[in-house]
Amino acid sequence: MSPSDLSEMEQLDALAAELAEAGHLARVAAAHHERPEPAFAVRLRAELLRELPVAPVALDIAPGDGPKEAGFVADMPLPPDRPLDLPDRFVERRRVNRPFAGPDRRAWIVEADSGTLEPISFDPDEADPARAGKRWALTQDHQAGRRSTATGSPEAPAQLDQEGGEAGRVAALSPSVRWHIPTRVLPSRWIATGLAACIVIASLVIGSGVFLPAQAVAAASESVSSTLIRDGFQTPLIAGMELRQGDEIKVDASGRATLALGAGYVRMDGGSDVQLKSLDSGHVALDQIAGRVYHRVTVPAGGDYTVETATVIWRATGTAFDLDCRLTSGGGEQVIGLALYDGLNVTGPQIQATVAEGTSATVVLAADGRPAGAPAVEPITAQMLADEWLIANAGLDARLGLPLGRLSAIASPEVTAPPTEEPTATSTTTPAPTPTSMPAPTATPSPTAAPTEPPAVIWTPEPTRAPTPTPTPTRTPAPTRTSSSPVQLTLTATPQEDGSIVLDWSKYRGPHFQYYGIVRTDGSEPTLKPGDGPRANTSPADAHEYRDAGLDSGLGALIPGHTYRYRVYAYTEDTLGSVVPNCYIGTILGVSNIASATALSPGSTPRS
Amino acid sequence: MAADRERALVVRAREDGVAFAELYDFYMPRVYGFIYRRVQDRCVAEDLTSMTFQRALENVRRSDFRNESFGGWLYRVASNVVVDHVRRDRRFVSIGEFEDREEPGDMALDALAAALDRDQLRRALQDLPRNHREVLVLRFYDDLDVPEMCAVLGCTREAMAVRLHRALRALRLAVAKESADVA
Repeated sequence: MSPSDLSEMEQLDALAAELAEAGHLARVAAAHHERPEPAFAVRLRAELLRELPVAPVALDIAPGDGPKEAGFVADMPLPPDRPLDLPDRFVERRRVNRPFAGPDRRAWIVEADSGTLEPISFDPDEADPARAGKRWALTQDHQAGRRSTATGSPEAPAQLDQEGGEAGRVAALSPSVRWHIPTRVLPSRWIATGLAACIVIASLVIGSGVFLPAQAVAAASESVSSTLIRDGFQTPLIAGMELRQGDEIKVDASGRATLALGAGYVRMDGGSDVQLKSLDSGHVALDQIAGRVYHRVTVPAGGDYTVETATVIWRATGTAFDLDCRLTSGGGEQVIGLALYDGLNVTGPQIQATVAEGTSATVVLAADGRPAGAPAVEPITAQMLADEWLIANAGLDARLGLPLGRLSAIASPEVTAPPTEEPTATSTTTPAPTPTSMPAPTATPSPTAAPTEPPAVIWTPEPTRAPTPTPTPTRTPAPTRTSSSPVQLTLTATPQEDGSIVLDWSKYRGPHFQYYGIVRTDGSEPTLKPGDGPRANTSPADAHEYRDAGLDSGLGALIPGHTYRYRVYAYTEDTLGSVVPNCYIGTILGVSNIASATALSPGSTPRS
Repeated sequence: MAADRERALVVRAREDGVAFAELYDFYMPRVYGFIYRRVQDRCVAEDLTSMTFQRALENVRRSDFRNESFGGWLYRVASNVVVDHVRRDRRFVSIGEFEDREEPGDMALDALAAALDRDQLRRALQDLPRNHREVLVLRFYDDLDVPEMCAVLGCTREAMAVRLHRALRALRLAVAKESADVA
């Protein structure tokens, strides 16, 4: 292969990586819309499965179990997110991860005396025929209908005919689902009763949103080799899958997952295990059972966010922190919490501590899950920050334009080496040598937690808490990248008489600057991030003023009376390994505040 | 989903709703997203998803149904359903509007292009011939794997690799041309 061929392959490889990254961003941006409505999923599922029988369960159910051996799926209401396969005898979830002798959290399945599994199900045929004043009657259609189908025995109706003398007893044992209204009860009363019941049910349904606490929207925005455990059933966690209170998410050692919880999100490293204990909009509570998890918290005023690690509770009100649970040789556990942006409160049996931003707290838990002593609070050192997991998260947050706090020292919007990779991923450094081979399209530099949950991220008015305008970094935590943090730019937006909006921002004065990018939203979407919404670039590239005049500007038409929100980014001149000239990664060097302005009708007087 | 398990589920699904349910649970969100990216309408996406899985159920129940990649086959059905929908929709469009109507994959392409940082690359992508755009969208936006792409496009793995390679080369050349034009 000639050097030129090699160069071409590298270029194509880089192009593929760029497209893959864009595709990922586009999918993330549209994830909310591309998720099917649960009601639709349930309805379609039921309609499809109604046409299919259920094969006899190939487990330990004895052939003589009657109605349980076969039937129709449609007879059994099955939520769409509940796997249909019978699980193992019990789901062993915590023995490996948590050695504590606490309440048994294993999910058991009913086991019969014979040692066989018995699914718990409601069988109306076993109901008391005398209850509720219903008069059960044996009918011919019943004999030929559901019951015979359920037992899988076509001879059953004939047998029942031959044993007509026992019809009454059979009727009592296996009543029809068809029942008669007692003649003594006036139909009008039944109608009135039905109407009353409908009103009560409707009022309960409508009022449930008032009386019950609202649930935070929770969903998996990314999942690799992760498992969702719900009601004791395990199923692969799929990106876009909605999560519920009580769900547990377990990530394989080689996997990763990102959960969007309300306006915050949770990035789970390989080997981590988290249970969602509460998803109330004002109170999100997680049980971090094992592993390392990065929490980016956004809760409404008055709300809180807690993470339990055994008996110790970490409480935040709006912050970014990292919790790492590690087993110790003595059968206990060590939990290291890093307050990366804003602080944390740590409480537990006989301990209480405040972990300010920039400090870490180490709690050692004994084998019974209780803290062995007071938390060791100490400043976060550079050595702690020079961590692959934190660097990756910092890069992702920087790319999303989130306030970084202590992570600003290591943040780079370009994601560095992933803490965990797909086990099947191929290396980008080995492009296929022949044209017929795949030019490594799957070998995107997939980060552990790619910028996944934009809908959940709310921009705060202060995009960078620690503006450190030092483009020349003093330390290099990542071996292959130079770290830098975005510099804060000051942006103002002024509506003009002609209906346009003029933007003016402080100039980025550091090295490696290439161009500015302007992002605009119309206020309907509360998030702003690179790659979101209409964008425009300045001309010339270093101009620090821009007139948004509607369609001509590239940002789309301005509607008088609408309020628009703007943000400006300064981008670097980094190239893709100097292989492709002018092929910019677009590393963010500077980011501005959000400036709002309401477009005026042409000819009106601007407001100051 | 592992290929072996998928094949086993497809075989079982002929007579076992449980197996089909597992396939449904795994593929329904993906197929819905695949369709939604092309129609950008929730109601239409739901209709077309229903149609896709109805066809899947009908075919899976046939004894002669054979497919190495059920997921790919499903995407192909979804793709055909979307094309049918767009063609059907066009019958009610006046001639004057006809030229402006988008092809089924154009919305997906626009979304992918909008996520690109470089203007030159964005323009180059949108100016590519349809066959190249289709491959790139399936690979990089829909994130389909190779067997699934082969099923959607109806070609072998080798042909798929060549098509993808050619599409990337065409894109690279188009970017270079855009750069030259700008200069």
